[in-house]
Amino acid sequence: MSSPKAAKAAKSAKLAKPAKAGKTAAKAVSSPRSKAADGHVFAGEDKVNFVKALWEGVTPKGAKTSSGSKSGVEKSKAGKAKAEKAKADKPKAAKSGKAAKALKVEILRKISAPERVESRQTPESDQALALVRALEAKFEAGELDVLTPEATQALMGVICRIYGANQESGNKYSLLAGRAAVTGTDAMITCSALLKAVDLQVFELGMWQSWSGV
Amino acid sequence: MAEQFVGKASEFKDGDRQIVRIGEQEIGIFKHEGEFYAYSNFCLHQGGPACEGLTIARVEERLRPDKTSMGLHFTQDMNFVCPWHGYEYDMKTGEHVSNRKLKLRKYDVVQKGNDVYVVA
Repeated sequence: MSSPKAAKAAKSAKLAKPAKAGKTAAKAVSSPRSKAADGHVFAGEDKVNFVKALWEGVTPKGAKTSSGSKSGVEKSKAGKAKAEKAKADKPKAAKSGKAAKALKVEILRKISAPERVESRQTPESDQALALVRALEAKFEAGELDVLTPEATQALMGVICRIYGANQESGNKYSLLAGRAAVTGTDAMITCSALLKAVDLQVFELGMWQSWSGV
Repeated sequence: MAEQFVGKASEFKDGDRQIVRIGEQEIGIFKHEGEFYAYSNFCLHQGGPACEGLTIARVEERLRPDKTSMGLHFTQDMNFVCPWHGYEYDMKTGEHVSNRKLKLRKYDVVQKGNDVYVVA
């Protein structure tokens, strides 16, 4: 038989043990701790501050800081406090800045409309325009052979010569009007055919463009 | 929202544009067929300078009754094109031409005499 004293001690030990274990477990959940090599114990909050310090950047050595010789965790805490202060000040600054900016109108760029070519009207131009209208009407009606190959070659030849001579004499204008219904494919087919007709390679065209600055 | 002076009407020729910054907003002001239009200069696609690209008439493809193409044609409606990736917007509404649900922010333009104001 055990003495009543011993029984009391055993009872208190039985009761105390689970309570202690439960308390530690609760502590571990709320604030996980880990032990460093030098024996320093880091709490969960310290880890969070450490990660924040890494994220916000490390102050270079020799730079004067308000934290002086504070530890990394203290520095991060100071940085956090600073950030909070800046955050608190921000609405005021933003408010006053907004009020000032609302009145400020800054002209960034002016883009002029494309210049229209003022040209001398000639009877040949009128005839050419009338011919174009007639050709377009027939083409849109599906008549692809509205011009014979010989007529197309003759027209293309004279257009090339007139346009080239005007460009070289300084009378520069766009080859197609803004609303011409020429597609990119049309242009590429025609350019390729023109280069082939005069026995030029795309490489030579590129060289000529880079040298002449066209 | 207040009226902000952006320039003199006499300084705008038909087809001219002006890009202004009002506070934190960048706005493109167009003069097209005698009317002023103002839109946000941030493209809905990737924030490019939507109002600074080419202005071009809308292209449509006309079809015959048998649905074969009669070719591409320009219409009378004018569009402007973001220079970054070619998002094309209607000059009069700011809507994207192929998806009308996409719309640039439009600002009201007020003309008082010779002065032009944007409400921003």
